[in-house]
Amino acid sequence: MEDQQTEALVRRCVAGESSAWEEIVRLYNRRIYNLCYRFTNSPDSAQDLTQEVFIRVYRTLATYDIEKGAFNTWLTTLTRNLLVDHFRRGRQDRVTDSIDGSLGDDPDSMALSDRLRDPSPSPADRLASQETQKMVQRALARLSPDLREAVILRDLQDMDYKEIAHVLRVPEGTVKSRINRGRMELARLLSRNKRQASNE
Amino acid sequence: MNKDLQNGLSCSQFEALLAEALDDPSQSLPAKTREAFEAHRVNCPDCAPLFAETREGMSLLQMLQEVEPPRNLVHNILAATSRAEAGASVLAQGAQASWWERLMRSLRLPRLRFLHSRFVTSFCMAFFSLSLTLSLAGVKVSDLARVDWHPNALRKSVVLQYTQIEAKVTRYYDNMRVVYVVQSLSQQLKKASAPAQNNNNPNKDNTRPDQQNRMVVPGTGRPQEEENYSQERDAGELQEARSVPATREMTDPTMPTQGAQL
Repeated sequence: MEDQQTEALVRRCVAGESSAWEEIVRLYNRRIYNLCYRFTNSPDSAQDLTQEVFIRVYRTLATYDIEKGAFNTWLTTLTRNLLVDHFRRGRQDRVTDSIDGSLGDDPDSMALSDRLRDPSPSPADRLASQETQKMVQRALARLSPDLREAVILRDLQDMDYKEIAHVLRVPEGTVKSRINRGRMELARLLSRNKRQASNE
Repeated sequence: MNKDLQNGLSCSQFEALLAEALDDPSQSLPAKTREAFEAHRVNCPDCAPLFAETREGMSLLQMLQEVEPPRNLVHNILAATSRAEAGASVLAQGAQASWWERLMRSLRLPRLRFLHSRFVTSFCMAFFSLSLTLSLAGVKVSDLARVDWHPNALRKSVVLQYTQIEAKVTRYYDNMRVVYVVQSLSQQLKKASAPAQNNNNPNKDNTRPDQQNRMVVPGTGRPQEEENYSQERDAGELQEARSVPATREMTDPTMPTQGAQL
């Protein structure tokens, strides 16, 4: 059902209907931004890359064939290719090395109005949760790109193994292995950081 | 990794099933496989911590919340794609144009430059100068077709031409030197013969016609120099000149003559 709606949207967009394109952007911008942010660990880079992804989608939308795969898989493949290009350009070095750097504009941190409005968790719990999220994001940024993209697509983008194998162009067994190693490496990094923090 | 079988499942098999077992073992794995997996996890000393770390990593990742994109992101994307659309429409126009239109479009700027008046004038002057130089040098355009353009042949030709021109110039100056030598010898002969003739005929007036009217300065024997308009006359001559109206003054009827004034 969702695929049919997306197909209709794509057809309208290819026919030149600007409202259809706007709808596609509104539907998928959050997903693409999150994927880029989790991979780059930089809000600015994520914003630039998201724009770049949609510009490329806009130019190549006519080449999309719905019989070859879901629109979401096609979009994720395109995003992943841009992320790989971005990583190769070397910008990643500045971001991943800053595991102890400040995250003043961290999107994970809530706005003050949201904090005041949110009654459920206590401030201490929320603060602990925010700190944990920052630590996880930093550890994620330290994973190798192969492992990082695999765990992001599986655990954050909720894609199945077949789709991930299609996006990464590797067998499903390799996808599962990368996911396992990525999760394990992340847990080890975090436990190492906790040990270092407790020793200090 | 331990490759020994633990409860019918090897460690590599355990690792291969790990991802699916962590997702949802009740749905992703058959009951028998699930049991074997659980038994291996409990009994294998290598795979038990592996399972624990992987599960912890998964739970940490799934704890990450979705981040909020910037508020202007959609607007920026739409603005960027509209700019891209404008560029694409220009490209599409270019692609739809006929080959003649594209050719003329590509030639438009060079053609205007080519037809610029200054360029045309300069080109004509250069062509005229070149053709004049070639015609003066005796080069014909039809001869150029027979020229051997090989570098060695060109070098030989240039050396030959240079040698011929150098020989012509040398010969010309040698001839000129002979002429000047003969001329100076004849002048010396004339000067040498002139005093002998004067001594033989002292009373004979052998001066040139323009020298016959020269006055000889008394006591010196030197001829008196010709006067010019910069030399002063003596007082008597000036007085005499005042008594005679000047030619310029007599030709000017509007001016009173000096004689009338006096």
